[in-house]
Amino acid sequence: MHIYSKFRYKFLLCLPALVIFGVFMVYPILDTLYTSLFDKYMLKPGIFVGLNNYKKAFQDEYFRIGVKNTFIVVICTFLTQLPLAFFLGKFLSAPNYKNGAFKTISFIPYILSGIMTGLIWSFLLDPTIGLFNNLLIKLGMKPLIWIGGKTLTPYSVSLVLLWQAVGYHSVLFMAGFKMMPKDVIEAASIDGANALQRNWYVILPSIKETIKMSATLILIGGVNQYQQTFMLTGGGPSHYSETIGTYTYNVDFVSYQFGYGSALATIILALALGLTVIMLQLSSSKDDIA
Amino acid sequence: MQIKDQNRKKHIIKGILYYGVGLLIVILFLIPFIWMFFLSFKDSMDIFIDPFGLPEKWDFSLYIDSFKTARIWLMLKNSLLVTVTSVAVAMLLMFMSSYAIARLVRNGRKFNNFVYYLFLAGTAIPIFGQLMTIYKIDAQIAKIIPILGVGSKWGLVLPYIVIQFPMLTLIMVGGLRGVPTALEEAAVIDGCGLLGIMFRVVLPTVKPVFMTALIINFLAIWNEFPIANIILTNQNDYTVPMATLMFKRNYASDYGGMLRAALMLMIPQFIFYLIFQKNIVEGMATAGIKG
Repeated sequence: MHIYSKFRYKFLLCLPALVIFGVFMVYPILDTLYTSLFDKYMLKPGIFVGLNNYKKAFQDEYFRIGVKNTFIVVICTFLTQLPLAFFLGKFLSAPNYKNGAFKTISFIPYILSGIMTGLIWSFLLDPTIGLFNNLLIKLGMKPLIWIGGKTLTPYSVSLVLLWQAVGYHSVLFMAGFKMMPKDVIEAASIDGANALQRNWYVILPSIKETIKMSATLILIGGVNQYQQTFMLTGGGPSHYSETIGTYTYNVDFVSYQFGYGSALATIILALALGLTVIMLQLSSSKDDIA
Repeated sequence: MQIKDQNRKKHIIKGILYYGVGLLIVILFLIPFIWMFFLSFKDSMDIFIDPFGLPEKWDFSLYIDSFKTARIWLMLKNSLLVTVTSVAVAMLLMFMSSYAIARLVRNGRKFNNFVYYLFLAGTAIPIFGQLMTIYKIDAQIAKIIPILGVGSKWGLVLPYIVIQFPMLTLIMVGGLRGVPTALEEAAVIDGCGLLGIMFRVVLPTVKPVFMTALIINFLAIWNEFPIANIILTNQNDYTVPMATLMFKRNYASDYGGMLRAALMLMIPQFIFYLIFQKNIVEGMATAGIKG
Protein backbone atom coordinates (compact mmCIF):
# COMPACT_ATOMS: atom_id res chain seq x y z
CA MET A 1 0.00 0.00 0.00
CA HIS A 2 2.55 2.51 -1.16
CA ILE A 3 0.27 5.42 -1.84
CA TYR A 4 -1.40 5.68 1.49
CA SER A 5 1.50 4.77 3.73
CA LYS A 6 2.65 8.36 3.80
CA PHE A 7 3.00 9.93 7.20
CA ARG A 8 0.21 12.40 6.75
CA TYR A 9 -2.37 9.68 6.24
CA LYS A 10 -1.20 7.64 9.20
CA PHE A 11 -1.11 10.72 11.33
CA LEU A 12 -4.56 11.92 10.39
CA LEU A 13 -6.08 8.51 10.97
CA CYS A 14 -4.52 8.21 14.40
CA LEU A 15 -5.00 11.81 15.41
CA PRO A 16 -8.49 11.69 16.99
CA ALA A 17 -7.61 8.62 19.01
CA LEU A 18 -4.28 10.13 20.07
CA VAL A 19 -5.86 13.38 21.14
CA ILE A 20 -8.55 11.88 23.29
CA PHE A 21 -6.12 9.30 24.67
CA GLY A 22 -3.68 12.07 25.50
CA VAL A 23 -6.32 14.09 27.29
CA PHE A 24 -7.92 11.31 29.30
CA MET A 25 -5.12 8.81 29.80
CA VAL A 26 -1.69 10.42 29.45
CA TYR A 27 -2.40 13.83 30.92
CA PRO A 28 -4.13 12.37 34.02
CA ILE A 29 -1.09 10.28 34.88
CA LEU A 30 1.23 13.27 34.56
CA ASP A 31 -1.22 15.43 36.46
CA THR A 32 -1.50 12.89 39.26
CA LEU A 33 2.28 12.68 39.56
CA TYR A 34 2.48 16.46 39.66
CA THR A 35 -0.34 16.90 42.15
CA SER A 36 1.20 14.34 44.48
CA LEU A 37 3.78 16.94 45.36
CA PHE A 38 1.17 19.34 46.66
CA ASP A 39 -1.20 19.60 49.54
CA LYS A 40 -4.44 20.13 47.69
CA TYR A 41 -8.02 20.19 48.84
CA MET A 42 -10.48 19.58 46.01
CA LEU A 43 -9.86 21.85 43.07
CA LYS A 44 -8.57 24.74 45.12
CA PRO A 45 -4.98 25.76 44.50
CA GLY A 46 -2.45 23.64 46.33
CA ILE A 47 0.60 24.26 48.46
CA PHE A 48 3.86 22.72 47.34
CA VAL A 49 5.07 20.16 49.87
CA GLY A 50 7.52 18.11 47.90
CA LEU A 51 7.71 14.49 48.94
CA ASN A 52 5.79 15.09 52.16
CA ASN A 53 2.76 13.19 50.95
CA TYR A 54 4.86 10.11 50.41
CA LYS A 55 6.39 10.42 53.85
CA LYS A 56 2.89 10.79 55.21
CA ALA A 57 1.83 7.59 53.45
CA PHE A 58 4.55 5.54 55.09
CA GLN A 59 3.52 6.78 58.49
CA ASP A 60 -0.18 6.49 57.85
CA GLU A 61 -1.57 3.63 59.92
CA TYR A 62 -4.57 3.15 57.65
CA PHE A 63 -2.39 3.02 54.57
CA ARG A 64 -0.24 0.37 56.20
CA ILE A 65 -3.33 -1.69 56.93
CA GLY A 66 -4.26 -1.25 53.29
CA VAL A 67 -0.88 -2.47 52.15
CA LYS A 68 -1.13 -5.51 54.38
CA ASN A 69 -4.60 -6.37 53.11
CA THR A 70 -3.66 -5.78 49.50
CA PHE A 71 -0.64 -8.01 49.99
CA ILE A 72 -2.88 -10.78 51.31
CA VAL A 73 -5.25 -10.42 48.37
CA VAL A 74 -2.44 -10.47 45.81
CA ILE A 75 -0.77 -13.55 47.29
CA CYS A 76 -4.02 -15.45 47.79
CA THR A 77 -5.36 -14.74 44.34
CA PHE A 78 -2.04 -15.67 42.81
CA LEU A 79 -1.84 -18.97 44.67
CA THR A 80 -5.43 -19.96 44.00
CA GLN A 81 -6.28 -18.63 40.56
CA LEU A 82 -3.28 -19.93 38.64
CA PRO A 83 -3.52 -23.62 39.62
CA LEU A 84 -7.31 -23.65 39.51
CA ALA A 85 -7.39 -21.98 36.11
CA PHE A 86 -4.83 -24.51 34.92
CA PHE A 87 -6.93 -27.47 36.03
CA LEU A 88 -10.18 -25.96 34.90
CA GLY A 89 -8.63 -25.19 31.54
CA LYS A 90 -7.42 -28.75 31.26
CA PHE A 91 -10.79 -30.08 32.30
CA LEU A 92 -12.62 -27.97 29.75
CA SER A 93 -10.12 -28.86 27.02
CA ALA A 94 -10.89 -32.55 27.20
CA PRO A 95 -11.92 -33.73 23.77
CA ASN A 96 -14.76 -36.19 23.27
CA TYR A 97 -16.88 -34.67 26.00
CA LYS A 98 -19.71 -32.23 25.63
CA ASN A 99 -18.44 -29.51 27.91
CA GLY A 100 -19.86 -26.42 26.20
CA ALA A 101 -22.31 -25.74 29.00
CA PHE A 102 -19.56 -25.98 31.63
CA LYS A 103 -17.47 -23.50 29.69
CA THR A 104 -20.34 -21.07 29.34
CA ILE A 105 -21.28 -21.16 32.99
CA SER A 106 -17.76 -20.84 34.37
CA PHE A 107 -17.30 -17.65 32.37
CA ILE A 108 -20.47 -15.93 33.52
CA PRO A 109 -19.04 -14.27 36.64
CA TYR A 110 -16.49 -12.45 34.52
CA ILE A 111 -19.11 -10.42 32.66
CA LEU A 112 -20.42 -8.81 35.81
CA SER A 113 -19.17 -5.55 37.24
CA GLY A 114 -17.09 -5.65 40.41
CA ILE A 115 -19.90 -3.85 42.16
CA MET A 116 -22.48 -6.46 41.26
CA THR A 117 -20.13 -9.26 42.28
CA GLY A 118 -19.50 -7.54 45.58
CA LEU A 119 -23.23 -7.19 46.18
CA ILE A 120 -23.92 -10.84 45.41
CA TRP A 121 -21.17 -12.05 47.69
CA SER A 122 -22.06 -9.67 50.49
CA PHE A 123 -25.14 -11.85 50.86
CA LEU A 124 -23.25 -15.11 50.77
CA LEU A 125 -20.65 -13.95 53.26
CA ASP A 126 -22.87 -12.01 55.63
CA PRO A 127 -22.14 -13.35 59.10
CA THR A 128 -25.82 -13.41 60.09
CA ILE A 129 -27.88 -14.34 57.08
CA GLY A 130 -25.23 -15.56 54.71
CA LEU A 131 -25.13 -18.98 53.11
CA PHE A 132 -21.59 -19.73 54.29
CA ASN A 133 -22.28 -19.36 57.97
CA ASN A 134 -25.60 -21.13 57.73
CA LEU A 135 -23.84 -24.06 56.14
CA LEU A 136 -21.19 -24.05 58.84
CA ILE A 137 -23.84 -24.03 61.55
CA LYS A 138 -25.75 -26.86 59.94
CA LEU A 139 -22.54 -28.86 59.78
CA GLY A 140 -22.05 -28.21 63.48
CA MET A 141 -19.10 -25.88 63.07
CA LYS A 142 -18.56 -22.37 64.34
CA PRO A 143 -19.61 -19.51 62.09
CA LEU A 144 -16.86 -17.15 60.93
CA ILE A 145 -16.87 -13.42 60.48
CA TRP A 146 -16.16 -13.48 56.76
CA ILE A 147 -16.73 -9.77 56.29
CA GLY A 148 -17.20 -7.00 58.78
CA GLY A 149 -14.60 -8.37 61.12
CA LYS A 150 -10.97 -7.58 61.69
CA THR A 151 -9.01 -10.19 59.80
CA LEU A 152 -10.89 -12.38 57.37
CA THR A 153 -12.03 -9.79 54.85
CA PRO A 154 -9.02 -9.88 52.50
CA TYR A 155 -9.32 -13.65 52.30
CA SER A 156 -13.01 -13.36 51.48
CA VAL A 157 -12.18 -10.78 48.83
CA SER A 158 -9.70 -13.24 47.33
CA LEU A 159 -12.46 -15.81 47.17
CA VAL A 160 -14.75 -13.39 45.39
CA LEU A 161 -12.02 -12.48 42.91
CA LEU A 162 -11.37 -16.18 42.36
CA TRP A 163 -15.02 -16.81 41.54
CA GLN A 164 -15.09 -13.89 39.18
CA ALA A 165 -11.88 -14.49 37.26
CA VAL A 166 -11.06 -18.19 37.21
CA GLY A 167 -13.39 -18.80 34.26
CA TYR A 168 -11.61 -16.11 32.28
CA HIS A 169 -8.13 -17.40 33.11
CA SER A 170 -9.17 -20.94 32.28
CA VAL A 171 -10.03 -19.68 28.80
CA LEU A 172 -6.51 -18.27 28.50
CA PHE A 173 -5.11 -21.64 29.52
CA MET A 174 -7.37 -23.44 27.07
CA ALA A 175 -6.00 -21.30 24.29
CA GLY A 176 -2.48 -22.04 25.54
CA PHE A 177 -3.12 -25.76 25.59
CA LYS A 178 -4.34 -25.62 22.02
CA MET A 179 -1.02 -24.23 20.94
CA MET A 180 1.08 -26.88 22.66
CA PRO A 181 3.13 -29.18 20.45
CA LYS A 182 1.35 -32.51 20.85
CA ASP A 183 4.25 -34.64 19.68
CA VAL A 184 6.45 -33.73 22.63
CA ILE A 185 3.75 -34.83 25.06
CA GLU A 186 3.21 -38.08 23.23
CA ALA A 187 6.91 -38.71 23.18
CA ALA A 188 6.99 -38.24 26.92
CA SER A 189 4.17 -40.76 27.41
CA ILE A 190 5.93 -43.26 25.23
CA ASP A 191 9.12 -42.73 27.20
CA GLY A 192 7.20 -43.82 30.29
CA ALA A 193 6.40 -40.56 32.02
CA ASN A 194 3.31 -40.71 34.19
CA ALA A 195 0.68 -37.99 34.35
CA LEU A 196 2.41 -35.98 37.07
CA GLN A 197 5.74 -36.00 35.30
CA ARG A 198 4.12 -35.17 31.99
CA ASN A 199 2.40 -32.22 33.55
CA TRP A 200 5.38 -30.84 35.36
CA TYR A 201 8.18 -31.29 32.91
CA VAL A 202 6.49 -31.07 29.55
CA ILE A 203 3.21 -29.23 29.69
CA LEU A 204 4.15 -26.45 32.07
CA PRO A 205 7.13 -25.23 30.05
CA SER A 206 5.07 -25.24 26.85
CA ILE A 207 2.48 -22.88 28.26
CA LYS A 208 4.97 -20.56 29.90
CA GLU A 209 3.62 -17.61 27.93
CA THR A 210 0.09 -18.23 29.06
CA ILE A 211 1.18 -18.55 32.67
CA LYS A 212 3.13 -15.33 32.37
CA MET A 213 0.13 -13.47 30.96
CA SER A 214 -2.30 -14.89 33.48
CA ALA A 215 0.02 -14.23 36.40
CA THR A 216 0.58 -10.62 35.37
CA LEU A 217 -3.14 -9.98 35.06
CA ILE A 218 -3.81 -11.59 38.43
CA LEU A 219 -1.13 -9.56 40.18
CA ILE A 220 -2.19 -6.26 38.65
CA GLY A 221 -5.80 -7.11 39.38
CA GLY A 222 -4.98 -7.73 43.01
CA VAL A 223 -3.12 -4.46 43.37
CA ASN A 224 -5.82 -2.39 41.66
CA GLN A 225 -8.70 -4.16 43.34
CA TYR A 226 -11.22 -1.98 45.05
CA GLN A 227 -14.78 -2.43 43.81
CA GLN A 228 -15.41 -5.74 45.55
CA THR A 229 -13.94 -4.66 48.88
CA PHE A 230 -15.89 -1.45 48.58
CA MET A 231 -19.16 -3.30 48.24
CA LEU A 232 -18.39 -5.96 50.83
CA THR A 233 -17.22 -3.78 53.67
CA GLY A 234 -16.51 -0.26 52.46
CA GLY A 235 -13.13 -0.61 54.11
CA GLY A 236 -14.56 -1.00 57.58
CA PRO A 237 -14.98 -1.54 60.33
CA SER A 238 -12.71 1.33 61.28
CA HIS A 239 -10.51 0.87 58.24
CA TYR A 240 -9.56 -2.70 59.18
CA SER A 241 -10.35 -4.08 55.78
CA GLU A 242 -9.07 -1.26 53.60
CA THR A 243 -7.00 -2.10 50.60
CA ILE A 244 -4.72 0.47 49.04
CA GLY A 245 -7.36 0.90 46.37
CA THR A 246 -10.27 1.61 48.70
CA TYR A 247 -8.12 3.85 50.88
CA THR A 248 -6.90 5.89 47.92
CA TYR A 249 -10.48 6.28 46.77
CA ASN A 250 -11.51 7.37 50.25
CA VAL A 251 -8.76 9.94 50.50
CA ASP A 252 -9.49 11.33 47.05
CA PHE A 253 -13.26 11.39 46.95
CA VAL A 254 -14.48 11.24 50.50
CA SER A 255 -11.93 13.49 52.16
CA TYR A 256 -11.14 15.24 48.89
CA GLN A 257 -7.43 15.40 49.68
CA PHE A 258 -6.33 15.38 46.07
CA GLY A 259 -2.67 15.91 46.89
CA TYR A 260 -2.32 13.02 49.29
CA GLY A 261 -4.59 10.87 47.17
CA SER A 262 -2.42 11.49 44.14
CA ALA A 263 0.61 10.34 46.07
CA LEU A 264 -1.20 7.14 47.02
CA ALA A 265 -2.30 6.64 43.44
CA THR A 266 1.29 7.07 42.31
CA ILE A 267 2.40 4.42 44.76
CA ILE A 268 -0.20 2.02 43.36
CA LEU A 269 0.90 2.86 39.83
CA ALA A 270 4.52 2.18 40.76
CA LEU A 271 3.52 -1.14 42.31
CA ALA A 272 1.57 -2.23 39.26
CA LEU A 273 4.34 -1.22 36.87
CA GLY A 274 6.96 -2.82 39.10
CA LEU A 275 5.11 -6.12 39.15
CA THR A 276 4.71 -6.01 35.36
CA VAL A 277 8.40 -5.38 34.87
CA ILE A 278 9.31 -8.19 37.26
CA MET A 279 7.04 -10.60 35.39
CA LEU A 280 8.58 -9.60 32.07
CA GLN A 281 12.10 -10.01 33.43
CA LEU A 282 11.39 -13.38 34.98
CA SER A 283 10.23 -14.90 31.74
CA SER A 284 13.01 -13.54 29.58
CA SER A 285 15.68 -15.05 31.83
CA LYS A 286 13.89 -18.39 31.71
CA ASP A 287 13.90 -18.17 27.95
CA ASP A 288 17.67 -17.84 27.94
CA ILE A 289 18.09 -21.06 29.84
CA ALA A 290 15.60 -22.94 27.67
CA MET B 1 -15.22 -60.00 24.24
CA GLN B 2 -14.02 -59.61 27.82
CA ILE B 3 -11.53 -56.88 26.98
CA LYS B 4 -14.08 -54.96 24.98
CA ASP B 5 -16.51 -55.01 27.89
CA GLN B 6 -13.83 -53.89 30.29
CA ASN B 7 -12.95 -51.00 28.05
CA ARG B 8 -16.61 -50.04 27.74
CA LYS B 9 -16.92 -50.09 31.51
CA LYS B 10 -13.87 -47.87 31.87
CA HIS B 11 -15.34 -45.42 29.40
CA ILE B 12 -18.64 -45.26 31.20
CA ILE B 13 -16.99 -44.73 34.57
CA LYS B 14 -14.74 -42.05 33.14
CA GLY B 15 -17.76 -40.40 31.61
CA ILE B 16 -19.69 -40.40 34.87
CA LEU B 17 -16.68 -38.98 36.69
CA TYR B 18 -16.17 -36.26 34.13
CA TYR B 19 -19.75 -35.09 34.04
CA GLY B 20 -19.92 -35.42 37.80
CA VAL B 21 -17.02 -33.05 38.24
CA GLY B 22 -18.55 -30.79 35.62
CA LEU B 23 -21.82 -30.71 37.52
CA LEU B 24 -20.00 -29.86 40.71
CA ILE B 25 -18.23 -26.99 38.99
CA VAL B 26 -21.48 -25.69 37.58
CA ILE B 27 -23.14 -25.81 40.98
CA LEU B 28 -20.24 -23.99 42.60
CA PHE B 29 -20.40 -21.22 40.05
CA LEU B 30 -24.16 -20.86 40.10
CA ILE B 31 -24.75 -21.09 43.84
CA PRO B 32 -24.49 -17.34 44.38
CA PHE B 33 -27.18 -16.66 41.78
CA ILE B 34 -29.46 -19.42 43.02
CA TRP B 35 -29.08 -18.20 46.58
CA MET B 36 -29.94 -14.67 45.54
CA PHE B 37 -32.95 -15.89 43.61
CA PHE B 38 -34.36 -17.74 46.61
CA LEU B 39 -33.67 -14.88 48.98
CA SER B 40 -35.34 -12.39 46.69
CA PHE B 41 -38.76 -13.87 47.37
CA LYS B 42 -38.56 -13.63 51.12
CA ASP B 43 -39.37 -10.56 53.09
CA SER B 44 -36.94 -9.33 55.69
CA MET B 45 -38.46 -11.31 58.54
CA ASP B 46 -38.17 -14.57 56.66
CA ILE B 47 -34.61 -13.84 55.76
CA PHE B 48 -33.58 -13.47 59.37
CA ILE B 49 -35.58 -16.36 60.72
CA ASP B 50 -34.74 -18.95 58.13
CA PRO B 51 -32.32 -17.80 55.49
CA PHE B 52 -31.56 -21.28 54.36
CA GLY B 53 -34.92 -22.69 53.42
CA LEU B 54 -37.00 -22.26 50.34
CA PRO B 55 -39.21 -19.21 50.28
CA GLU B 56 -42.80 -19.64 51.41
CA LYS B 57 -44.44 -17.98 48.54
CA TRP B 58 -43.25 -17.33 45.05
CA ASP B 59 -44.78 -13.95 44.60
CA PHE B 60 -43.79 -12.53 41.25
CA SER B 61 -45.75 -9.35 41.80
CA LEU B 62 -42.96 -8.40 44.21
CA TYR B 63 -40.72 -8.24 41.21
CA ILE B 64 -43.06 -5.97 39.36
CA ASP B 65 -43.23 -3.67 42.37
CA SER B 66 -39.47 -3.55 42.64
CA PHE B 67 -39.15 -2.82 38.97
CA LYS B 68 -41.21 0.31 39.36
CA THR B 69 -39.83 1.49 42.70
CA ALA B 70 -36.21 1.05 41.73
CA ARG B 71 -36.75 2.60 38.32
CA ILE B 72 -34.91 -0.27 36.73
CA TRP B 73 -35.95 0.81 33.29
CA LEU B 74 -34.43 4.27 33.76
CA MET B 75 -31.13 2.84 34.95
CA LEU B 76 -30.94 0.43 32.05
CA LYS B 77 -31.77 3.22 29.65
CA ASN B 78 -29.01 5.43 31.04
CA SER B 79 -26.46 2.68 30.71
CA LEU B 80 -27.62 1.89 27.22
CA LEU B 81 -27.43 5.47 25.98
CA VAL B 82 -24.00 6.13 27.45
CA THR B 83 -22.57 2.78 26.41
CA VAL B 84 -23.81 2.87 22.83
CA THR B 85 -22.51 6.40 22.29
CA SER B 86 -19.10 5.70 23.81
CA VAL B 87 -18.72 2.39 22.01
CA ALA B 88 -19.66 3.88 18.64
CA VAL B 89 -17.05 6.63 18.89
CA ALA B 90 -14.42 4.32 20.37
CA MET B 91 -14.83 1.70 17.65
CA LEU B 92 -14.55 4.32 14.94
CA LEU B 93 -11.40 5.88 16.39
CA MET B 94 -9.90 2.49 17.12
CA PHE B 95 -10.56 1.14 13.65
CA MET B 96 -8.94 4.17 12.07
CA SER B 97 -5.82 4.06 14.23
CA SER B 98 -5.51 0.26 14.21
CA TYR B 99 -5.80 0.31 10.45
CA ALA B 100 -3.01 2.87 10.24
CA ILE B 101 -0.82 0.87 12.64
CA ALA B 102 -1.40 -2.46 11.00
CA ARG B 103 -1.73 -1.72 7.30
CA LEU B 104 0.06 1.52 6.47
CA VAL B 105 3.55 0.17 6.95
CA ARG B 106 5.39 0.74 3.73
CA ASN B 107 7.03 4.01 4.65
CA GLY B 108 8.54 3.00 7.95
CA ARG B 109 7.12 1.67 11.18
CA LYS B 110 8.38 4.12 13.73
CA PHE B 111 5.17 6.05 14.02
CA ASN B 112 3.11 2.88 13.92
CA ASN B 113 5.07 1.33 16.74
CA PHE B 114 4.96 4.49 18.76
CA VAL B 115 1.18 4.67 18.66
CA TYR B 116 0.79 0.93 19.16
CA TYR B 117 2.94 0.72 22.27
CA LEU B 118 1.56 3.96 23.62
CA PHE B 119 -1.95 2.58 23.55
CA LEU B 120 -0.87 -0.80 24.88
CA ALA B 121 0.93 0.82 27.81
CA GLY B 122 -2.45 1.80 29.14
CA THR B 123 -2.97 -1.75 30.35
CA ALA B 124 -0.86 -1.38 33.46
CA ILE B 125 -2.38 1.91 34.52
CA PRO B 126 -4.72 1.67 37.50
CA ILE B 127 -7.79 3.82 37.38
CA PHE B 128 -6.71 5.70 40.49
CA GLY B 129 -4.02 7.41 38.48
CA GLN B 130 -6.67 9.04 36.32
CA LEU B 131 -9.75 9.60 38.44
CA MET B 132 -8.85 12.91 40.00
CA THR B 133 -7.86 14.47 36.70
CA ILE B 134 -10.93 13.14 34.90
CA TYR B 135 -12.99 14.82 37.58
CA LYS B 136 -11.04 18.03 37.08
CA ILE B 137 -11.41 17.93 33.30
CA ASP B 138 -15.10 17.22 33.42
CA ALA B 139 -15.57 20.02 35.91
CA GLN B 140 -13.90 22.39 33.45
CA ILE B 141 -16.00 21.09 30.57
CA ALA B 142 -19.10 21.63 32.64
CA LYS B 143 -18.34 25.33 32.72
CA ILE B 144 -18.38 25.50 28.93
CA ILE B 145 -20.77 22.77 27.83
CA PRO B 146 -22.75 21.76 30.93
CA ILE B 147 -24.25 18.65 29.46
CA LEU B 148 -20.89 17.09 28.69
CA GLY B 149 -19.37 17.64 32.10
CA VAL B 150 -19.64 16.64 35.69
CA GLY B 151 -23.12 15.93 36.93
CA SER B 152 -24.52 14.71 33.65
CA LYS B 153 -24.50 11.23 32.29
CA TRP B 154 -23.12 12.50 29.01
CA GLY B 155 -20.05 13.62 30.94
CA LEU B 156 -19.18 9.95 31.04
CA VAL B 157 -18.87 9.55 27.31
CA LEU B 158 -15.55 11.28 26.73
CA PRO B 159 -13.63 9.35 29.41
CA TYR B 160 -15.38 6.13 28.45
CA ILE B 161 -14.17 6.34 24.89
CA VAL B 162 -10.57 5.72 25.92
CA ILE B 163 -10.79 3.26 28.74
CA GLN B 164 -10.55 0.21 26.54
CA PHE B 165 -8.08 1.60 24.01
CA PRO B 166 -5.29 -0.77 25.12
CA MET B 167 -7.34 -3.95 24.76
CA LEU B 168 -9.10 -2.82 21.59
CA THR B 169 -5.82 -1.88 19.92
CA LEU B 170 -4.40 -5.27 20.80
CA ILE B 171 -7.35 -7.11 19.30
CA MET B 172 -7.86 -5.00 16.22
CA VAL B 173 -4.26 -4.61 15.18
CA GLY B 174 -3.92 -8.36 15.58
CA GLY B 175 -6.92 -8.95 13.38
CA LEU B 176 -6.01 -6.40 10.75
CA ARG B 177 -2.51 -7.72 10.28
CA GLY B 178 -3.84 -10.85 8.66
CA VAL B 179 -5.64 -9.18 5.79
CA PRO B 180 -4.10 -9.95 2.39
CA THR B 181 -2.63 -6.87 0.73
CA ALA B 182 -3.91 -8.03 -2.62
CA LEU B 183 -7.34 -7.00 -1.49
CA GLU B 184 -6.32 -3.42 -0.88
CA GLU B 185 -4.22 -3.20 -4.00
CA ALA B 186 -7.18 -4.32 -6.08
CA ALA B 187 -9.30 -1.66 -4.45
CA VAL B 188 -6.72 1.00 -5.25
CA ILE B 189 -6.67 -0.06 -8.87
CA ASP B 190 -10.43 0.16 -8.94
CA GLY B 191 -10.11 3.78 -7.94
CA CYS B 192 -11.08 3.56 -4.26
CA GLY B 193 -9.92 6.33 -1.97
CA LEU B 194 -8.36 5.51 1.40
CA LEU B 195 -11.63 5.77 3.30
CA GLY B 196 -13.30 3.62 0.72
CA ILE B 197 -10.65 0.94 1.07
CA MET B 198 -10.91 1.01 4.81
CA PHE B 199 -14.63 0.98 5.25
CA ARG B 200 -15.94 -0.73 2.17
CA VAL B 201 -13.23 -3.28 1.48
CA VAL B 202 -11.24 -4.11 4.59
CA LEU B 203 -13.82 -3.66 7.33
CA PRO B 204 -16.21 -6.31 6.00
CA THR B 205 -13.28 -8.72 5.88
CA VAL B 206 -12.44 -8.32 9.54
CA LYS B 207 -16.01 -8.23 10.77
CA PRO B 208 -15.57 -11.10 13.32
CA VAL B 209 -12.60 -9.40 15.00
CA PHE B 210 -14.40 -6.09 14.92
CA MET B 211 -17.47 -7.61 16.50
CA THR B 212 -15.38 -9.23 19.24
CA ALA B 213 -13.71 -5.95 20.01
CA LEU B 214 -17.04 -4.17 20.02
CA ILE B 215 -18.57 -6.66 22.43
CA ILE B 216 -15.64 -6.50 24.83
CA ASN B 217 -15.78 -2.72 24.69
CA PHE B 218 -19.52 -2.74 25.32
CA LEU B 219 -19.25 -4.98 28.37
CA ALA B 220 -16.38 -3.01 29.88
CA ILE B 221 -18.19 0.31 29.58
CA TRP B 222 -21.51 -1.09 30.75
CA ASN B 223 -19.81 -2.39 33.90
CA GLU B 224 -17.65 0.63 34.55
CA PHE B 225 -17.91 2.01 38.04
CA PRO B 226 -15.11 4.30 39.29
CA ILE B 227 -15.57 7.07 36.74
CA ALA B 228 -19.35 6.89 36.98
CA ASN B 229 -19.10 7.19 40.73
CA ILE B 230 -17.29 10.50 40.60
CA ILE B 231 -19.10 12.09 37.67
CA LEU B 232 -22.73 11.24 38.33
CA THR B 233 -24.47 13.24 41.00
CA ASN B 234 -28.12 12.96 40.09
CA GLN B 235 -29.77 9.64 40.82
CA ASN B 236 -31.78 9.95 37.66
CA ASP B 237 -28.57 9.67 35.68
CA TYR B 238 -27.26 6.55 37.30
CA THR B 239 -25.87 3.73 35.19
CA VAL B 240 -26.26 0.08 36.16
CA PRO B 241 -23.22 -0.20 38.46
CA MET B 242 -24.16 3.04 40.23
CA ALA B 243 -27.71 1.79 40.58
CA THR B 244 -26.38 -1.39 42.18
CA LEU B 245 -24.53 0.68 44.77
CA MET B 246 -27.56 2.85 45.32
CA PHE B 247 -29.73 -0.18 46.01
CA LYS B 248 -27.32 -1.36 48.63
CA ARG B 249 -27.52 2.01 50.33
CA ASN B 250 -31.24 2.69 49.99
CA TYR B 251 -32.59 -0.76 50.70
CA ALA B 252 -30.47 -1.18 53.81
CA SER B 253 -32.85 -3.57 55.51
CA ASP B 254 -35.08 -4.66 52.69
CA TYR B 255 -32.77 -7.36 51.44
CA GLY B 256 -35.45 -8.90 49.31
CA GLY B 257 -36.03 -5.65 47.47
CA MET B 258 -32.30 -5.15 47.00
CA LEU B 259 -31.88 -8.59 45.53
CA ARG B 260 -34.86 -8.32 43.23
CA ALA B 261 -33.57 -5.03 41.85
CA ALA B 262 -30.05 -6.39 41.42
CA LEU B 263 -31.25 -9.55 39.67
CA MET B 264 -33.38 -7.56 37.26
CA LEU B 265 -30.41 -5.31 36.48
CA MET B 266 -28.35 -8.36 35.59
CA ILE B 267 -30.82 -9.81 33.13
CA PRO B 268 -29.80 -7.75 30.07
CA GLN B 269 -26.18 -8.70 30.65
CA PHE B 270 -27.06 -12.37 30.84
CA ILE B 271 -29.04 -12.23 27.65
CA PHE B 272 -26.27 -10.28 25.95
CA TYR B 273 -23.77 -12.87 27.09
CA LEU B 274 -25.81 -15.86 26.01
CA ILE B 275 -26.22 -14.42 22.54
CA PHE B 276 -22.62 -13.38 22.01
CA GLN B 277 -20.91 -15.84 24.26
CA LYS B 278 -18.87 -17.61 21.65
CA ASN B 279 -17.54 -14.32 20.38
CA ILE B 280 -16.70 -13.06 23.85
CA VAL B 281 -14.89 -16.15 25.03
CA GLU B 282 -12.90 -16.61 21.85
CA GLY B 283 -12.06 -12.94 21.69
CA MET B 284 -10.67 -12.89 25.20
CA ALA B 285 -8.59 -15.96 24.43
CA THR B 286 -7.15 -14.47 21.28
CA ALA B 287 -6.32 -11.23 23.01
CA GLY B 288 -4.63 -13.23 25.71
CA ILE B 289 -2.41 -15.07 23.27
CA LYS B 290 -1.35 -11.95 21.47
CA GLY B 291 -0.56 -10.25 24.74
